[in-house]
Amino acid sequence: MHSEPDKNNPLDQHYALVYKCLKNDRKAQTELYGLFSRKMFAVCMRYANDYDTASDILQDGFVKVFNSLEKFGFDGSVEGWIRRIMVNTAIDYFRKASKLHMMADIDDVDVADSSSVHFLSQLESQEIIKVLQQLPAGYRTVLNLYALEDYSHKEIAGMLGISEGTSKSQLARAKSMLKSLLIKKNMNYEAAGNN
Amino acid sequence: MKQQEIIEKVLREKLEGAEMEPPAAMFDRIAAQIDRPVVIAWYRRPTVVRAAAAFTLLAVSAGLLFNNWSAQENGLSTSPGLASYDSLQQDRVEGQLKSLKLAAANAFTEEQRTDVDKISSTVQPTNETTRLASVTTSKQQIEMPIENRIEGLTAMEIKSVSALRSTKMKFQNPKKVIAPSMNENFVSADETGILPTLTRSYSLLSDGGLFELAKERFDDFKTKEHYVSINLGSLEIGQSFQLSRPESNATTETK
Repeated sequence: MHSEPDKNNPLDQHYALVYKCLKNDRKAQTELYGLFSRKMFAVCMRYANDYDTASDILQDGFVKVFNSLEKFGFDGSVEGWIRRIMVNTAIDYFRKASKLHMMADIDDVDVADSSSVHFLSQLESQEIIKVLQQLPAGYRTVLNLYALEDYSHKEIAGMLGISEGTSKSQLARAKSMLKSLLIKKNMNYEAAGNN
Repeated sequence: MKQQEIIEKVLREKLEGAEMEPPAAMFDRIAAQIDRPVVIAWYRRPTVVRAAAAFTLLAVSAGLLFNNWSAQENGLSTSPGLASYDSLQQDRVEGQLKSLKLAAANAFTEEQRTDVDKISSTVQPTNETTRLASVTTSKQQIEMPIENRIEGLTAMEIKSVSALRSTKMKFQNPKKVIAPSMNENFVSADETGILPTLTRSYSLLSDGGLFELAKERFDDFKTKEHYVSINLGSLEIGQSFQLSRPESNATTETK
């Protein structure tokens, strides 16, 4: 049994909220949604190729969250648990839509150059998400899982049903394409600036 | 550190903890789905709403085009004559317009009216007398029942959208302006000079759909001056109609 929640401890506050949600307390559900929806929507936008798809994923993800709260073990952060559900929902979404096309293995190559990295560092998060959305779903998913969720290639291979080599090649291709998109965007920026 | 690793590091720095505003009323949809079987709330998903709206627009457009073609093929007179004009029931129309204008003023901000790129849904017929206008912007989703004072989309709308798409930016055939009238006949402006519809403004969506802004310019009905326009950003394509009775000379002016 969980001890009395500490009002100053965010983790305890989140646990208390989950307890209330388990009792079907609509106010608590609203509060939980309000606490994490903005962060989770940014996560969904990273995995989705457009706003509406991200909205679908967010909606399905939160329905899963509320319907699976009894499975929450109260042994880690609530945010991390919700985030994993969102990521899995996104992967399921594209798997069902057969949009996770994986290319054959290729050798890992160093694709980035300093100018694209510099430009990337100047972009706002929303602009970066827009660039990510232009990547094919397979590239985008592996890049998200590896670079932003800290999954290993072995774990990604297990999650997506692909080989480790394919995961690595998807990552390399994703970065290569990201670089091209950044160069193109940078050129557009410079062209706009010169006009 | 390899450049690839630097890219990952920058991505992490920029995107970890990033926040974005989810669609308005999203929690209501989630709550509906928690309480009910999945299939009942599924239709409210944004992608489904968008697809349904696009299908509805297509179906209505196709139906109107077919009706128009069918009437012409059968050599039917599409003019309702004087009696039809009188049967427009001005009071009723005026009342509907007032309520529509009021609803539009309350429901949409100026930004939403003009920022057409952010609108992603369109009008959906719900029954014979009302429609549900659903507008999704980057900030919120608004659903608003409005009176369906004149059924469906007119051929003029279809032709105008077609003209806009082909970037000709003009009405392809202004004299073929045809609107389903209140008494279920078709009235063509070229035959009678009467356009028994009222001035309305529309916005073309980024995805090619048509959204009725519910912004009607109700000019002086009694002087029978009507102005129909389509707004696309700062560009307004409009047509003014001098209404006249069948026995007098019909005139159609283009602004």
